[in-house]
Amino acid sequence: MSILAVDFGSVHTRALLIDQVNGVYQLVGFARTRTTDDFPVQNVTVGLGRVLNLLSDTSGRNFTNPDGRVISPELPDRSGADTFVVTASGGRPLRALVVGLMPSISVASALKALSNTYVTVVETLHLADGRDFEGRLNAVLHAYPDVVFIVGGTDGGAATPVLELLHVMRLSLSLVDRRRRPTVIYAGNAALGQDVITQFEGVAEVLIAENVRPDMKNESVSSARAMLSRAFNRYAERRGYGFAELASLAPSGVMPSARGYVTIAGYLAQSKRERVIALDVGSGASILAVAHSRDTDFSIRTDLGVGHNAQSLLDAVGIDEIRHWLPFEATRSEVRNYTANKALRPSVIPSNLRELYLEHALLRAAAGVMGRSTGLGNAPEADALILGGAAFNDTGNSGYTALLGLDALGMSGVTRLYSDPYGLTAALGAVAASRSEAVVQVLDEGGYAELGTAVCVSGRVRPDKPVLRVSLEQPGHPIREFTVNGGHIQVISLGIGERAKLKIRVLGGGLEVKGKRSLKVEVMGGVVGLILDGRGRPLLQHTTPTQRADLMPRWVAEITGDEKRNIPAEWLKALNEPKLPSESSRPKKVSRRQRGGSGRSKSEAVPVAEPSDVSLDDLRNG
Amino acid sequence: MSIFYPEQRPAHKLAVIQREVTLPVDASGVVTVINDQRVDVRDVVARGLVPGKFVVVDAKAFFKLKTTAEVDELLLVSVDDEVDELKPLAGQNSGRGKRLFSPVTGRVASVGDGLIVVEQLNAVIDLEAGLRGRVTEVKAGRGALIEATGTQIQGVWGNGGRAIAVIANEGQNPIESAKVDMMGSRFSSAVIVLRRPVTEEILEVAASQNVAGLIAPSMSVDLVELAHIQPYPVMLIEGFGEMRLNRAVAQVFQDLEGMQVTLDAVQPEVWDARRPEAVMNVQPKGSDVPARPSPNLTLRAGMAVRVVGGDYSGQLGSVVNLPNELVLLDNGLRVPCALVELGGDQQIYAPLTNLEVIG
Repeated sequence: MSILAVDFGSVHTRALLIDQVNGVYQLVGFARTRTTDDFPVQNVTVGLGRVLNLLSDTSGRNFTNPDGRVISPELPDRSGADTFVVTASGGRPLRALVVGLMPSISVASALKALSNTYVTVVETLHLADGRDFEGRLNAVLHAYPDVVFIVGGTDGGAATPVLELLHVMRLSLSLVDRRRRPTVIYAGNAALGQDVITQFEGVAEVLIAENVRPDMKNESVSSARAMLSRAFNRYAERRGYGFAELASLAPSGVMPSARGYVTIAGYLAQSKRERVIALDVGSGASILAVAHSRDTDFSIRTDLGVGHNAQSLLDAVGIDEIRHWLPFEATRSEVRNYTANKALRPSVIPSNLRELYLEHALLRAAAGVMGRSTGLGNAPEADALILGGAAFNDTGNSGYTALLGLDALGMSGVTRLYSDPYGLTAALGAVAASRSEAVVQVLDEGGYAELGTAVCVSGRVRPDKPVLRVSLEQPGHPIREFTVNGGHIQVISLGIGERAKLKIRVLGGGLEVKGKRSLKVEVMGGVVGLILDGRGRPLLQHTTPTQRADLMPRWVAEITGDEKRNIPAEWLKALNEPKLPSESSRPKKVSRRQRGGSGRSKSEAVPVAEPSDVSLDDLRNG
Repeated sequence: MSIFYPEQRPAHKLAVIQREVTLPVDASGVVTVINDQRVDVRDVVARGLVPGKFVVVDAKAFFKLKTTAEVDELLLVSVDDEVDELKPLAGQNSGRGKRLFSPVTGRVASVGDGLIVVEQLNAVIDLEAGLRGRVTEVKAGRGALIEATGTQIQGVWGNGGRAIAVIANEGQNPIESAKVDMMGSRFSSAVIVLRRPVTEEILEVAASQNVAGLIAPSMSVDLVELAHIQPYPVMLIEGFGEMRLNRAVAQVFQDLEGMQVTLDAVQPEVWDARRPEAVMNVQPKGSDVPARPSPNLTLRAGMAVRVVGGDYSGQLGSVVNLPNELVLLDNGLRVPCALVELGGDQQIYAPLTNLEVIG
């Protein structure tokens, strides 16, 4: 019973083949290509064809008919797959307009229901919004929503306020161009369901969900979320770039990738009774799921990313938050230029040292925002951390990936680290309901890359003074002892599948691991091994660029085993901020008729790199 | 190395251009051309309107009526009627008695439930073809795809403006020197091509010189706000920062000095695939064969590419080979790379994702 899963991200399209090997589900094939929603194709199905061809090349199996449709179920010659699922996180998020009665009750529940899919709330209408009938009508008509999410009223409660809001919504939507009318989801007073259908008959498609607030004490968002998934799929069909064709190719349509993070983190937390964090900072959106054995908190931000949404990330965190992670002086303009260029060319990766630190500063800052939004604090603990997305995984060095993961959330305590370079989380989330045995087995069979275990000391460490003494015991091996100094990372070889018992003693005042000075834990190895992190937490608090220039390259070298890449001394010289265009020199609104100079002196020439002297024809002729 | 589909950003002297011209996303409109129709640069392919403010007039309350049916009997307008401010919307036909006047000039958008909704109308947008060619696809209510032959230079950022004018390369005399020459500057009403980054002063002088548009390699992101309020389109070819225009691309513009160009300085939106570009109708000469867009182009040795990001950002080169292994960059990342030869026999390893095929 094979499973073919394709995920469309903002930058990458990934295909996974999961199949049974000796009766056990395993990840048996993977391919990746660029998402083709940009020039010159602007059709994601082209990327689907490409990625399936690449998967065929690596797996030796064919997945499509001559007409390009995916073969399903699998044929006796092993072409095709029994289950074909499509997930997407790329492209513009669903634009949602929320209509409710009270902002702190029904509207709050609506926003919670919306929080597990790729949604931008473009407008909120409620009884206390201060708008009159005309104001609400204009708010709807200028918001261009893809979905209108109407809530309000307890079941059997007062109907009049809800009906008044329905009236303005019906009139508003009737004025929208028919080709652009949104889907309406109603999840309010159940007694009004039929009224809603009648109101919007001939105006907009209506999906009825259970009330998100059936009474004042209870909240129920699962039914509304199911309808939102349907709306997401309808939107996928409408939004162009080939998503309509894509939705028709997969039996379950196009599902939001984010669902996987919530589902899989939740599953792992429940099955192992642990605290599990899954984090993906993408180009256009970021996801953080924090799962405990009983519940899962999560956050999806469609405005935070290190590519398409790098600009809005910078707007959200501010320049200083980025500078906090830079081991050199950087002007405001440099940070802003880099960020703006990333938004223009999201797939570009840093190719020199300065850009690398800028890129990873954006990544760490984005993760910081996500952590704060789920109440993680600045040195959270978890039993397992799963890192998804290219920003973490495309470093070419697992140690680097582990370092970024630890730093991004400032992890403390003892944490097993996993990376998901294949996008397995989205795929497993998509089949969790129908093929749960596959999810369990793929995870048990090591679907994620096991990086190892990190032991991170918390508190303010003294540089180069002992902070951890660790004894490591493995069956059949002599006990090994290690001492870790403050401000350093030490990596101990402990391979995939290997386990060891650790006795940890914390040295130095004010420091601890998992709230203790001394503890025993069992740890697992991985491609990186056992990471003994003596840097203290929070990281880099109250440091200067000069101090960071000493610390950050050392940490990279210690965890990757690569040579230390020193920060040039000239990067630490204080820089003058370029002058911003002054208010007085800005034209109020320059008309074409206005002539004459401003009287300012000519600008000095700016030294810039001289580009190559070569003609286009020369280049094309090789 | 497995197949790699690179980013494409044409800088073509002679190409088959497939240009999508569409109304702004928030506009509704009608397409005025049909498939296979030949269009000229200034031909209108679509007309549209950006929705204005909607004004709700409560006729039932105004006339103190009990039912909406009573309002219907008094209506003097119907849906889609255009009304001037103070034109009667409802009342007795005879002109006697109480009358309800439109508070604004606009279009009647809706009549019902005792309410009359009037939409204030913004100016009609006439969407021009921008180049001489043939309509190959009509996008209902939005615009059309036009195919033509000519020069196409795509940029990365624009301030949202659009102009059709002749090209004037900046040349030896910087544009700043033109400000002392108040009248009849060669930059007036032309699309100016700069080889150097835009400065605040250049933006100001360009406005004072009444330029039709500005094409430049780069500018500081700090100038975005200022660029947005200029009355002319601004397009950046390389990005934000201090990159200079590559001489190869500059030469294309130099060869087209004095020719008519359509500069569509589309402002990139996060989820919009449209790109700013300069296009010029050019007819092939002799054995010249215009290059066609190639959706399934894969990266191969010998291809002309632009390097993006890093120390060589903006430089053009040609791919020498594509190693199978990951390459360790100076910054410590290990990524798939191509060996690229830049001018002067200099060779560098550049990440595949940082290469743009220019045509």
